This record gives sequence, structure tokens and C-alpha cells, in this order.
Amino acid sequence: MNEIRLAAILLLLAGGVFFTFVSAVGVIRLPDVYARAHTASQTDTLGAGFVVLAVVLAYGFDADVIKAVLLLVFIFVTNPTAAHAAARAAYEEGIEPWTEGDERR
Amino acid sequence: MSVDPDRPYTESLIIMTAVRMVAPFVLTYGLFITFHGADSPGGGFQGGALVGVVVLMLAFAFGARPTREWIGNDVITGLAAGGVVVFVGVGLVAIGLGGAFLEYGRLEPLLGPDAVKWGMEAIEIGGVAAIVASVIMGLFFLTAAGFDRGDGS
Amino acid sequence: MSAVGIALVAFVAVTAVATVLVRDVLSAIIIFGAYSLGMALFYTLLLAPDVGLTEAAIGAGVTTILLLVTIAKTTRPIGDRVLASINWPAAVVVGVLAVLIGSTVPYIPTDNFTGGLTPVIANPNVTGYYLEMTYADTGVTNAVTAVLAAYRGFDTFGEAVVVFAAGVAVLVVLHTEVFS
Repeated sequence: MNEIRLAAILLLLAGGVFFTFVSAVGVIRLPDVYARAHTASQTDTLGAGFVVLAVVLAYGFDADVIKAVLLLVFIFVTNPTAAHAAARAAYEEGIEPWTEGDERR
Repeated sequence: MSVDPDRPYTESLIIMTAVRMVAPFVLTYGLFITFHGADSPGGGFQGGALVGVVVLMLAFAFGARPTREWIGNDVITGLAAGGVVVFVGVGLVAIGLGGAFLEYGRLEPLLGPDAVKWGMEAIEIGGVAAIVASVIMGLFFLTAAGFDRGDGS
Repeated sequence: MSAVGIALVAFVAVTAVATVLVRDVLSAIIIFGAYSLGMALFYTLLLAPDVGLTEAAIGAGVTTILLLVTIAKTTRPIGDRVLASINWPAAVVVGVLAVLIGSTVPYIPTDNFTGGLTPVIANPNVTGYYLEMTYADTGVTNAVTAVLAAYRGFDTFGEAVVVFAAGVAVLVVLHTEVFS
């Protein structure tokens, strides 16, 4: 039982690290601000989401789990909002989205 | 897709909804940090800063000008000046009761046997937190309003 | 210090230097926000969650917003160069000072005075007195609040008035009498 739990925790942590890494690469590699905003929000929603789930599993059922779940809820509310605000600010500034054939910015 | 950069800015429904949902929690947390500062990490400076940040968050979602008008100058000025008055007041009352400045033990006839604790709570909550929260709000509103030289000065 | 601590110190040092060196004001503000976030995590690692919380709210939040609003109201000079020019004599003086101060770090006593988790950094007698006597003297369990409001109440009064005076000073500078 404990081995299964440990394996699940490691799997979740690996998922968190994977998505954080992918979005870090994306922020450097993707061509324009909208694509970058899309990938940057993965860090928090998926990356932090998996890590917090791993924390929940690691602690079992006690009071700390409630805090972790609350944390997850707040991350899921605030992070997409921040990404939306960044993309919206870029749109209000009049930045045109990148289309195929354009130069990278 | 073309964007007209000159069209008027409208508030975002998504941001307003998210802030509406998060702000009560942050405000509660700020008040908890302030009021529970004597027995857990926190205190007037920390809690006051969080309460001030809640107002900045509201201004971010609903626009600086509406938030400024909603809060009003009287609240900000009253909290800042009132905080100093509360702090000085507690100190001076201690002097009036025959002690030194801020000697909370002298407040026992007013506050009961836990006078030291209640005196500290009074200056942390009524003094420091009020000053910090209101000055943060005030600085933001002043900066957001910009500099108007007024009539030829 | 743990690996996380060393990584955080490196992160804070790099972002601090980058804030100074980057020429674009907007980039500098955003890097400064990252610096504040690193400091907030570092304070939490050093068992000062309340300071970390304030650093996250004030340093990463309020300061960044105030600076962003300021460059939105003024201009953002755009140049070709990425890095600002370095004043080498000043950089050497700062570097020597940093090395001097850094060399004192290994000599800070870290004896665990009270047997708890809290490391006692400096002046173990004074710190130990506060940790032991706070509850008996003041009736509160948070020693930091007790020092702030009771033992050093007069200093805190000065601090609070300084914050108040900062608000008044900005009003004076901006030639206005109302906050909104």
C-alpha cells in the first residue's frame, strides 16, 4: 500500500516538474506574447496542481490537506486570471497575434 | 485580425469575477493576521499591508477611479490620522494614569487584568494596521491619479 | 544551509544584480518583482513567515504596481543597449563591501538556545530573555509582537509615524490635500 502511495506521489511530482519544464521551454521558444501567455499559465495550473496533489497524498488525511486543497483552488482561480490579464493587456496595446510566415518576436 | 488601439478600455468580466471571488478571502486573511498577531506570526504591519493590497486588487479589477471614489478620501485620511491618534492616545492615557509612555500595565483600571495584552492589541490593530493599510491605499490612489499642477503653481 | 536555501540565495543575488544592470525600466521592475518573490521565499525558509508574507505583498505586489503605474504615467525610454553602463569604481567599492560583510557570515553564532526549532542568530542572551519571558511579561505568545509593541513600543510608535509621514509627504509633494 505504501509503495503504491509513494509511486503515485513520485508520478505526480514528475508530472508537475514535466509541465513546469515544458512551459519554461515554451516561454523561451514560442513566437509571440499570446502563445507565451498560454504556455506560462501551464506552470501554475498543471505544474503546481500536480505538486499540490502530491503534497495531499504525502500528508494523508489531516488538517494540512485542507490548506493544500484551498491553495489548489486559489491557484486555479487566480492563475488563469493573471494569464488572461496579460494577454488582454497585450490585445489592448494593439499587438497582433503571430501567424505562420511572420517573423518571430 | 485587426485591433483598434484607440477604442476605449473596458473592464474585463473575467478579472472582475475572479477578484470578486478572491478578495473576501484575502481580506479575511489580512484581518486574521492583524487580529491574531499576538498569538501567531503576524501583526499590525503585516495585516495592514494585506488589507491595503485587497484595495489595490479591487482597483486592478474595477478601475482605479471608481475604487478611489468608492473608498473616499475621508476613510483614508481618517484611518491614517486615527491610527496615530489611537497610538498616541494609548501612550498618553498610560502617562495620565501615572505611568510611562505606553506602560500598558497602568491601564489595568480600564482594561482589566490582561491590560498589557489588550493595550498591545489596541496599538497593533487600531494604530499600526490602520496607518499602514490607509497609507498603502493613499499612495496608490495618488500615483494612479497622477500629478495635476493645478492653477498655475 | 540546505540546497533550496543556496539556490534561493543565488536567485536573489542574480536578480538583484540584474535589476541594477538592465537598462529598460520595465524589465528592471519585473526583475525586481522576481527578486522580492525570492526574498519572500527565503524569509519563509528562515522561519519568518510573517516577514515573507509582507515581502510578497509589499515587495512583489505594491512596489511593482506603484512603479508600473509610475512608468504608465511618465515615459519609458527605449534604447538600443540591453545593459546599463557600469561605473567601475563604484562597482569595485560595492564588491569589496559585499565580500567584507559576507565574510562575517560564518562567524554568526547559531547555537540552538532554547532547544526548539528556532535558531538564535545573534546576542543569544537578549534573544533568549525575550523567548523565555515574553508570556510572563506581556501575556502574548508571539515574541515578535511583544518586542514590537511592548519592549520596543516607543520605537514602533516612531515607525508608525514614519509611515504616516510618508503619506503626508507624498501629499505635500503632489500639491494636494486629498488622497482621492
